[in-house]
Amino acid sequence: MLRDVANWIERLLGLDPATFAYSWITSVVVIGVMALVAFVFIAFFAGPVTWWERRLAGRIQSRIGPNRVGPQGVLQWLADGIKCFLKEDLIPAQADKGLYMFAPYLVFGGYMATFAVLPFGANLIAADLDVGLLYLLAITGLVVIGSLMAGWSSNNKWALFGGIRSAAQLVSYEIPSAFSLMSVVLAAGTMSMQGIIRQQGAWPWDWFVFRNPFLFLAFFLSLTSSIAEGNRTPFDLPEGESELVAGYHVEYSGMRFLWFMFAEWGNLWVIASIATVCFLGGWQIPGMSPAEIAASTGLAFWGWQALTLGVFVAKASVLVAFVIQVRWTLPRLRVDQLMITCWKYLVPGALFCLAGVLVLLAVVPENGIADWALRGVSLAAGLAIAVAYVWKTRAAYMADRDLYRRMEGKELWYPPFRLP
Amino acid sequence: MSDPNDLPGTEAPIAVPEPVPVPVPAPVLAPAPVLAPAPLPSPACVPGSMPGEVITTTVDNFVNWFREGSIWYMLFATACCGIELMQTGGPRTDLDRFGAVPRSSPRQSDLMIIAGTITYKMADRVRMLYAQMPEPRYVIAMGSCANCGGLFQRGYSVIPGVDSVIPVDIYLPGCPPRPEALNEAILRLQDLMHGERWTQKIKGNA
Amino acid sequence: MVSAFPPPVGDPTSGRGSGGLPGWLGNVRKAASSVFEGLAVTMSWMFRRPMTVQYPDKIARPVQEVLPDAYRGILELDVRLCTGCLLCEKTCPIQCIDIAVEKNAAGGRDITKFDIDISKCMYCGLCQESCSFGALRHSGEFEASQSDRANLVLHFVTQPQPIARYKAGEAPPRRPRGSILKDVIVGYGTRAGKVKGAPTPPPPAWDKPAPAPKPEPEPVALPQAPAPAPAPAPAPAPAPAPATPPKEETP
Ligand code: SF4
Ligand code: SF4
Ligand code: SF4
Repeated sequence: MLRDVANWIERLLGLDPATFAYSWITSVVVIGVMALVAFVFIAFFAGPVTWWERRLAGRIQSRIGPNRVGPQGVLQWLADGIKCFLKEDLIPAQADKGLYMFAPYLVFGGYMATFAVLPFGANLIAADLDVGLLYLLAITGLVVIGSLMAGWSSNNKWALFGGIRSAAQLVSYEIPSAFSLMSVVLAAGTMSMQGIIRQQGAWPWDWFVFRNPFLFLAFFLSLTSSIAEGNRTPFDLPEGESELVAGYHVEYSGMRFLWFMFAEWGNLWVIASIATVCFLGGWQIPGMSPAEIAASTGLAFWGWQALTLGVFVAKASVLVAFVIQVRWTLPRLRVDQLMITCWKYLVPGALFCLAGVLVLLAVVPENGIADWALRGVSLAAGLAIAVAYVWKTRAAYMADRDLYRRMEGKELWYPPFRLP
Repeated sequence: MSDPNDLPGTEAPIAVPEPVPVPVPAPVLAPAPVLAPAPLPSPACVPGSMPGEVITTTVDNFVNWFREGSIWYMLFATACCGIELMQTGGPRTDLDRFGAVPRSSPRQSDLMIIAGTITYKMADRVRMLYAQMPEPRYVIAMGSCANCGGLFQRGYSVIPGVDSVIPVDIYLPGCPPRPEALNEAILRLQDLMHGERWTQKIKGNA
Repeated sequence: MVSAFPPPVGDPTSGRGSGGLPGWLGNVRKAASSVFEGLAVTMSWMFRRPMTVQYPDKIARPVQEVLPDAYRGILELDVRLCTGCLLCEKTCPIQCIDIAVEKNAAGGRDITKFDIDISKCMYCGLCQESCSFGALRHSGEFEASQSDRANLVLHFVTQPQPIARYKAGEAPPRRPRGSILKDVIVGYGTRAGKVKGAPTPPPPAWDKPAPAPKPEPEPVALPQAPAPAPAPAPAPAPAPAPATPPKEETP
């Protein structure tokens, strides 16, 4: 894809692709342009999700959330961004200036690099690497280095604590995350992101999450450890404001702080995208095989791309909302609980899933009776959980409904689509 | 009966000092502040005192509209007014509606709400926190104690108004001001930001 | 059999005492069910009415009217009732009130100054209790933030005013609660804000026609008052010149 765009620009400029100098220059230009495009793309993913998160958090806390900047506050993220951009950029006098200035870019770069292998649509992927998943797991290491660097170079003890906590946490949670994703790799037989999606189908019983009970379990393990890797709230010890003022970015202000925020909310999309790709069937549309999409041409091709993008974003959005809800539901763990959760529960659990998937792969022939039985069991489990969830939610609502009506003289019912 | 804290109507001592509600003059930080990382901006940096501020361009309007919509205030409260500050961020008077969220680090906040009594000991810290905030920064003095020392004005330990330590943009009366009042103060602050030229704000001399 | 998951030492949250695989599984079950319950509860809040009162604009009635009568807001003086007895001034424990009463040419007495420093007042209500004439009252008003602290001294008397003389039971009716402050607070109601269309307050039952609504100021009222910077600078100023009513100082 990069190569195509480069050739296109060269043709546009009327340049001879054979000449070295031209190619070098155009490569730089193309990389710059692509980076800009990617940045804007990511900004449009990471930005509105802050507004969305604040609205959801508001409703969970019985308030409203931002609704003044733009209609219903949808421009809130732009306001935050522009304001941060205009703020003074402070560098503490005692800080290690080079590292201090570089660290946010490392964090942001590490996160932006993951977008290269995220398949947003049938062909909407920057680079479909053969080792896509491995790349994804590896590149997040940059974030560790970045936050550790930020914590160290700020010359602030809270920042240093935050950085070290972040490193410990990310390194630990890489392991269950990797193991639970490895079960998917085993089931799919490939590490390429598009390959994993093609191994699944469009219908829920073809998704990996409902393939068999072990993958079903691995889905939750993987989601949990992704949340921990993204420093989201039940695991946001690196930023715990009750003990560390703001964690590893305590000394950052203005634009540099914005990079951290970008990475944090963009990570939300990365978490959701990984889960969508590996477990929820990616961008697949029912009744339309990937081959047919690839074979289409012209306008139809782009139509399918848009449709697959829509499917992918819809699935990922549900997961994003779920992760947001988890954040505003659960309190923060203690450090020892964090490590216990990882090493005593998630790692054995992920290994158990891996072993289970291995055994099933060896024993159960694909598309046999047993395979479908396993799918049915997992699907039933998922449905049971969903039904229980709705039922519990309704029970919690009904518990207060009459009391509210008696006390306030109003109906308690106020669904999320009613905008105050 | 000659208790100095006695009701002023009953006996003499009130006659001598006029009960004038005026700011007590400057030298407040009697011991030299140990910190002082950078010289604080002169009190002239209070917006509204700049003659050239009246003309605002479209860019300023645009930028200010966004700046107003994202006032991050610092989690900082020293006394009872802090309870109302928390309440203002809470569900009933949801400050998040206006894009105002609490930040725990002064480096990332735009607004410092002085919620509560500031003692001489705390004044150093207030100055330090103010100095740590990046430039387009604002201060709301919330409540009587922050305005002028309030009911502790004659106390030996309380500074008579936080404006003797840092420049204040908005004074909010009340003891404590109710959450809506703080909300109104923030709306006033938005008005004040709206008339600014942010270029001058950023340079730190506006 | 040696347990694969020995109970940890010193941490009650991770299965100490129950030990072994059953304890481990029990912890997993507990964690899963409590997370599940928590998620269900927060999800149910997505369907409940938020309790936010959208203060400045999107409310049915102004907050001032909804407040209880006993709410102690900013003090308010009806000069027509004040006898200049100075009781309130002497009662105030922190000397917020500053009253001056002078003889006038006609042999009577004038109130020449009645200042209340609301930046200092602690809203205790002692002065209200001590005023036996009902002249000084707490209102339900709370919107008085200023960018200049000198404006927080409310001048209720701007030109000499003969003190009230009336027999008991013949006192003139007091002006409605909150209606006086609108003229006294500098820049009252001038907030432009990004909140538009604030509902006009319906007149309360006991209200008589409001006294002379002030002219609507320009939408962008601030930066106002080129006057004294609210500085630590001394200038023990009775800053806004007492000759003119304070409300006209705003441009
Ligand atoms: S102004 Fe009143 S409520 Fe606020 S801190 Fe002072 S004494 Fe407490
Ligand atoms: S309410 Fe209390 S503090 Fe305020 S003026 Fe009256 S007596 Fe003084
Ligand atoms: S307000 Fe009341 S107590 Fe105060 S001087 Fe007037 S009449 Fe006397």
